Amino acid sequence: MGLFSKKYADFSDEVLMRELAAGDKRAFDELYGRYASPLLAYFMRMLWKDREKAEDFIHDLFAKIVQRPELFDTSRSFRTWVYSVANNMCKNEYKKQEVRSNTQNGLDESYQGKAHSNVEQEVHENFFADAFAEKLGALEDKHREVFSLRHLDGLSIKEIAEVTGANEGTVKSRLFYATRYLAEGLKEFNPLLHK
Amino acid sequence: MEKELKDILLHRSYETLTPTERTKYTEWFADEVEFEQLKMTVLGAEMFRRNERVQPRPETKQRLDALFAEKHASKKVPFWYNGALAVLYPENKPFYRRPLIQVAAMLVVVLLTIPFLTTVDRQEQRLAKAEVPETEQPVVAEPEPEMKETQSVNVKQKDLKSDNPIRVEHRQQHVAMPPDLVETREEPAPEPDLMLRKNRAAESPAYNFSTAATQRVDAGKIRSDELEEVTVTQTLSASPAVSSIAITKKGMISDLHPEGTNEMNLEKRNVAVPLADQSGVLDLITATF
Repeated sequence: MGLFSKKYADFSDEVLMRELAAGDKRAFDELYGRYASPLLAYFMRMLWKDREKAEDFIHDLFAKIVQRPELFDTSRSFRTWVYSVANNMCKNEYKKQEVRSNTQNGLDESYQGKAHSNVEQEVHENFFADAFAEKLGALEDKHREVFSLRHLDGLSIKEIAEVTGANEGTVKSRLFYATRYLAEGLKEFNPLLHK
Repeated sequence: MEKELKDILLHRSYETLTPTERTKYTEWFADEVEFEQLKMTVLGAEMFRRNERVQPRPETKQRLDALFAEKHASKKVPFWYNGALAVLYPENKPFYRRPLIQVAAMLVVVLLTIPFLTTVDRQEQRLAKAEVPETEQPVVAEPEPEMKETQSVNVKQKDLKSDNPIRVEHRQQHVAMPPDLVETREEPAPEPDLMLRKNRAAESPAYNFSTAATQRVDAGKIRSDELEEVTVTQTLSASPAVSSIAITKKGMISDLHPEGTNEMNLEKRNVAVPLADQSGVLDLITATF
């Protein structure tokens, strides 16, 4: 029982994790407020804009944090660690989907269908953004995750290397490829490129 | 991607780039086409990020809260931290905003203030007492109805180096001195004005012997039988030097004090003066009646 109230907003992620492990509910609330929304967006990007699946993944991810906080090494960066967990969850989901696609003769209507229909619904709202999302979804997983982590989640090359388990050179190469791929797909929106 | 490169891509065109900048980012774009491709990618990412701001559903958070409560259920609230104390001493507020602390602080302030106020009252009372002029007290406190007149008698003592008489003011019922020896002068009754009293005190022999010579009596000519009836009743308080008679004799030191506390009954002049004369210490009388 401290004399002064704790300013959780000023605490680092790692300190909040220590408090959370000690049973501090407000530390958990602060961490959830910081990462729930970005991770939900990340899951939606990586899981074909499946909102329900992304919500479930958010729940599962924070449930792991609550139940097994000791899994986090406080000497590491929590941001890198939590994105690593999220990335691994996505990879596991890819494997599940791959198994399903094999058992269903490669047809998984819920797999690409939702994303495709959502994109079509939003074409009229923001055609360029939807085209970008479509191209981003069409990227290979390894390229998409690197591009998302770098440009959409703001992680550094080094952090991406830690999250994905690849070396920095590989990350740069994947990022370069993804950028070229997306630029090629979006050139029709640029008059100069369209020429 | 460095922030500088992102700013270049979002806000500048390829023609405006300096050769240094083009060389610096050769890895990212080699010509204008690649520059525009990269620019479109960054623009798309920015737009995508703005549009994808989503918030988790509240149900997700509620399920997690329940899970957290279940996980840390063993850490129960202490028994003394009941509902009332939770309101009076909420842990989620700074200590100075907790009601219990605020009430305690108020009590401390009150407890520290009350003794201080009491001390101030005592000081005021003491100051009020100090303002009462002492010169009024003898007149009021010791009225003698038989007293008929107030005289000022100046006695010139023998062998005193100073010719200035010592002036004392006293009241007497009967003055047994011959008229040719003692000159009396009617003096006005003491005035209540304090300043006037101070002025009169300043004229007393203790302050200025030369201005007090209104009546003189040769002390050497005073006989004891002529002073039988004399009774000391009052002296000037403003002149402590003459407020008593000191009779000094070898082996005996006694004061004739107007308050009448002397055991030798020296209040009576007819006792004190003969005694002094008999002892040969009449010249040591430092004040007269």
